[in-house]
Amino acid sequence: MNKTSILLTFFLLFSCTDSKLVNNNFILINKEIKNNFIIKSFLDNQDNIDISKLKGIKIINFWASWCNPCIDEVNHLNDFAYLDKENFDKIIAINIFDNLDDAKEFINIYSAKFNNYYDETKTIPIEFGVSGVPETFFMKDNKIIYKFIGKIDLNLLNEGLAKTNDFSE
Amino acid sequence: MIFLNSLIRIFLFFFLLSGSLLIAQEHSAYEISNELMCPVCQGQTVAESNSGLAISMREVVKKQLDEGKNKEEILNYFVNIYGDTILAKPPISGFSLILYTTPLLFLCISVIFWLRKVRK
Repeated sequence: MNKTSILLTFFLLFSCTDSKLVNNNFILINKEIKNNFIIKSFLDNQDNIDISKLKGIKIINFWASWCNPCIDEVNHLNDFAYLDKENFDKIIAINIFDNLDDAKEFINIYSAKFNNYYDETKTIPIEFGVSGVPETFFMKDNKIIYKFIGKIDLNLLNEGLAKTNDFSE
Repeated sequence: MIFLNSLIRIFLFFFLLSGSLLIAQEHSAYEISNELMCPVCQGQTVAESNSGLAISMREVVKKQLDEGKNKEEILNYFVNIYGDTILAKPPISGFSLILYTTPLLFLCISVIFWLRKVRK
């Protein structure tokens, strides 16, 4: 009876484990963005972006002004973006679930100097499967490869970038 | 005068038609949102919640209704992204089947054990 209970417990534990989870909470998504999703820049002189037409590896970071871990992320994202020109173009931060004025204030107060956009349609986070902020997605062209839930730092950004670079189907 | 009357009638007809279509679509949007659970709220459906995520999900429902998608297609879209747990009434299969049947199974086993014990 005891052996049966132990076996049953193990079976239940393993059946509950998400097979998609990989180390360090990088979740494999491998999903193509087919429809047009336009994000608007906070800067007047910066063009809007269609997410379905992105080229190369991109890091999409979802944030909100009311989110405390998002404040902690700013320095790491700044550090990553200003390592070199290529990195700067890779980062696309999107403000969601927020008030636009609060978002602008956040960018000024915490000196978020990377590419910041906002989602006017309110539909983009759903296409990405966002369930909260902050969440970071690693994309290759118009395909979401990995998702990272929670606060991300410089090491994890580099790790996600390397993983996405190495990813092949 | 007859022409003006006819014009007013046609205008009224289309006005009422568009109004009723809008109400029908609002009703469908509410019905679908009420069948989706808000992933970040405790026990609230998307229709009931005012979280940013629920607002976004309602926008997606409206957008997809505008695109002509039906209820099943819209619910499937959310299931593909968030899994079966997004549904207020998830299908009884896979892990949820275990959840539904386990208490019943344990009850049956307990009754069998109890009966054996009483007989002894």
